[in-house]
Amino acid sequence: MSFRIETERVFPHPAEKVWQALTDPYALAAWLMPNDFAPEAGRPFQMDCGDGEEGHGTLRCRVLELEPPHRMVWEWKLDDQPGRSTVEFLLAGVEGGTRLTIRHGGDWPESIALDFENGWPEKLDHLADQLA
Amino acid sequence: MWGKAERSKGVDVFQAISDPNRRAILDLLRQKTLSVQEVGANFDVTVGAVSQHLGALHDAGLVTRRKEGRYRYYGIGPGALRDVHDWTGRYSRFWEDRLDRLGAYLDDTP
Repeated sequence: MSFRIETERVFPHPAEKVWQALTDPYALAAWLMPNDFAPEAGRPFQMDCGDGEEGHGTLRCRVLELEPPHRMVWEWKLDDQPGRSTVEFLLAGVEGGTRLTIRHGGDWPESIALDFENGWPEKLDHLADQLA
Repeated sequence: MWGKAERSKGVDVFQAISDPNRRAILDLLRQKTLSVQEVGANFDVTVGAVSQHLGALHDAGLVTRRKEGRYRYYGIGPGALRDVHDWTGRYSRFWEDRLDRLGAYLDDTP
């Protein structure tokens, strides 16, 4: 199963400042979650979910891509759930500040991502071919 | 009458649907209630294999099942739709809340 969400917000602050808030572990702890993050591509880190709506326990993450100061991608895995997701942060300078776009999507390994909301007859044909 | 789609203890719905065949079956049943044979007709696999998938989905509370004469009919369970929306809703709310907090942090930081 896959899910995809996208949300964005314009902040009246320069891109460098927003980037700093996304990549400094103390800043991240203030607005996101307690963590041991460092801005290094490939580096794993953890975040502490506590008892919030986002789940319980620990998030096992990793910096997948780092393109300062406008793009960062994390691997995001809840400790007690199978599957994983990725979170992409995109920054763009706009009139009056910086737009931050967050895309969070989950895919299950070795899987065909099926959109649960739509009927996908062509995907079923493909599946039937694979099962044959 | 329809049996209740009870969630069996310890059966993780996400593990039940990690198999792409099962997601395809759920997609079929979302359109229409079908017998095991009718589900099987959509795939080039044995009815036995389809039965096994449907059993796993039923154990996870994702499909409902009833017997009518010789046939077993399967329908989409409320759990299936709720769980998909849970993930999307959960993360939407999470990030909206976190963006609020990021905004406040930026405003409070020189």
